Amino acid sequence: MAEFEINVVEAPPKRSSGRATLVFLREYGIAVVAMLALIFLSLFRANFLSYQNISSLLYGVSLDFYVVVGFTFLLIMGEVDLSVGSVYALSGMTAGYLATQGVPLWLCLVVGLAIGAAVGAINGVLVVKLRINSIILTIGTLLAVRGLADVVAAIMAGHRYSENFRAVPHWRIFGVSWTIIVMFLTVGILEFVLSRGATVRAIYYIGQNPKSAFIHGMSVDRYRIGGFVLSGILAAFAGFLVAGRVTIPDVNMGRQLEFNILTAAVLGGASLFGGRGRVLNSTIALFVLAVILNGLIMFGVEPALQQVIVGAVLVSIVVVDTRINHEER
Amino acid sequence: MTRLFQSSRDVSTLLLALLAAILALTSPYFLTSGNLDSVQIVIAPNGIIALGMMVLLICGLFDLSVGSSMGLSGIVCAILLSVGVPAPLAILAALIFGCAFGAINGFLVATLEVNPLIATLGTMFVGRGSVETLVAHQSLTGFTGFPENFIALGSIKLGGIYLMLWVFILLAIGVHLGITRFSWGRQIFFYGSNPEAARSYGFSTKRVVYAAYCLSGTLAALAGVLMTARIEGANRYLGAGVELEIIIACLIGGASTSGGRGTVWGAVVGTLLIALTRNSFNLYELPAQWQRVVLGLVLIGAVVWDAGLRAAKRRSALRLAV
Repeated sequence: MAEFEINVVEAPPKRSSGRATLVFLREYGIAVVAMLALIFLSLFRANFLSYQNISSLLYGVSLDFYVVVGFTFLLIMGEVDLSVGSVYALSGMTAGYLATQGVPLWLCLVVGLAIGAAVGAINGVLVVKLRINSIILTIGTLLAVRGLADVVAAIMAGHRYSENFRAVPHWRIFGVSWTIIVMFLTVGILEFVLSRGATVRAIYYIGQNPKSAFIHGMSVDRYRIGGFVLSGILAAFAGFLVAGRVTIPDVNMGRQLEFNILTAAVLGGASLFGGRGRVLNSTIALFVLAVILNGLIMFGVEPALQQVIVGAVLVSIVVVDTRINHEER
Repeated sequence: MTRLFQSSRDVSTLLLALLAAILALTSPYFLTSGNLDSVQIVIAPNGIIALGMMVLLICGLFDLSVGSSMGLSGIVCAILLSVGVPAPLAILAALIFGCAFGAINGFLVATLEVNPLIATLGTMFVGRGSVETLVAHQSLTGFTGFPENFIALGSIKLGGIYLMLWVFILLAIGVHLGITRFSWGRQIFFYGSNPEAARSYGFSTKRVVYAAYCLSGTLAALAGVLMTARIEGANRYLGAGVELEIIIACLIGGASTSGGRGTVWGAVVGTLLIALTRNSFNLYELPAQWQRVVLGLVLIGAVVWDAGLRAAKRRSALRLAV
């Protein structure tokens, strides 16, 4: 029986106050920033805290939130899926197209999710089995799937989605949008029930040390491929809802969504180096991004500057992430 | 036979010849001067950017921000011209701007050690947003109304070939000689195939990264200036989405995402193949949406091919070891 040398995952941390600050920032920084942004905006803009504004912000987040869940799990395993925005558009538009042709709603949803699962499976199998850099491969699927989405949009050009399809994202439970309730439930279940479960812990373990996870008999490849499939399905589901919300097939649907989602996930403490990230924090970060962009609009900042700001935020948090990662080595 | 097709560059060369032959035989418009002119106009700027990208890929690096650098530099040049700056000065300023844009990428990647894909994704975003901001209050055509000598840059032909294509050809020869004949150029292959070894041999690896990004930024700016002169205006679409096409061109031209491999000839072949593929869509009046599908599939095919080659290399290395 061969003896393997196994890297210990939980190495005893070096104690120093600078490091403690960095770790504190990483764990709770996003919550602090969220509070500061909320306080600042509610002090200086009267209509920011209105029920109308907050619920519309939450509503927007509750639709895109599914994408950030899948994205976070992939990031924890050290992989990136940049095709989510295109999958979101293709699945949503295809489902909407079928609904407009009179196909029952549940079947439209199934087809939409199947498209997401298929793209995710292609991404996963190619990345994992052929050891391709996931960023580059998913840029390829981003392009190809976007092209297909444009084809669907061209077929649908000039038509609106059918009434029943458009109604889905507007269903309400006790006067609150059901998507908001589902978001809180999902985050709660993931955070308080599943986070202690074997599957989620395995995902973290794989991200922190794939070799040791493999030696311990985990089917690392299957988890990774599963992560891509999950990411595709969740992006498809979000696309299904958003397509109903925008009412017409929009060629710009989901364009650059992947950058916002990546920014939110990394802002929420997920690392490009894998092994770290939490769905709760990523969701809060998505909300914070929405608040910041909302605040910019309220202060009358040029809308085109939003891109500059998202890009600058992305670069600066990745710089911090890289710094922390270097210190830990 | 198998040796010949070790590189995707050889396959691409063959495909290029095939595609050109098919187009010449089946489309009556392919060999018309109007069509060849429009192909030249696509090849020159894309090829110029591809030269910089190829150098980066050989170094094992990446630049997603070339499209933004191209657009932003074109607009900087256009703004300077519109306030009356003489053309040579405006062009020089745009090139310096592109070089600075590249230096920022170099700073992020070499000094702050950020993942090159993410760093340039961020600068791409910042650059594209800046383009949108600068043209926000312009009409859809953007900045127009340039002096004659500037517009001539995009329309002069020498011997039936556009000046901008000559620029590309000269640059291609220059870069080829630079990275094959001189030790300062050849070191990028060493750096790309093994950065750690390059570092321990005493190469200034940071300088390599900075130089490669500055080259890429400057070449993208040059492409932006030439395109601005060609279309006699700088608008928000200048260089949008060009980065993926360039990367695809380099990968099918034999570059590897793991660095250390690539040739100028490969970049040229890749660019030509992409340009002809797009041209065939126009010639046969196929819907434009399918172009993206094909380009995406070509990229996936290229990285899968690349992965297959690497796997074969691993296996043969294993056999040698056993």
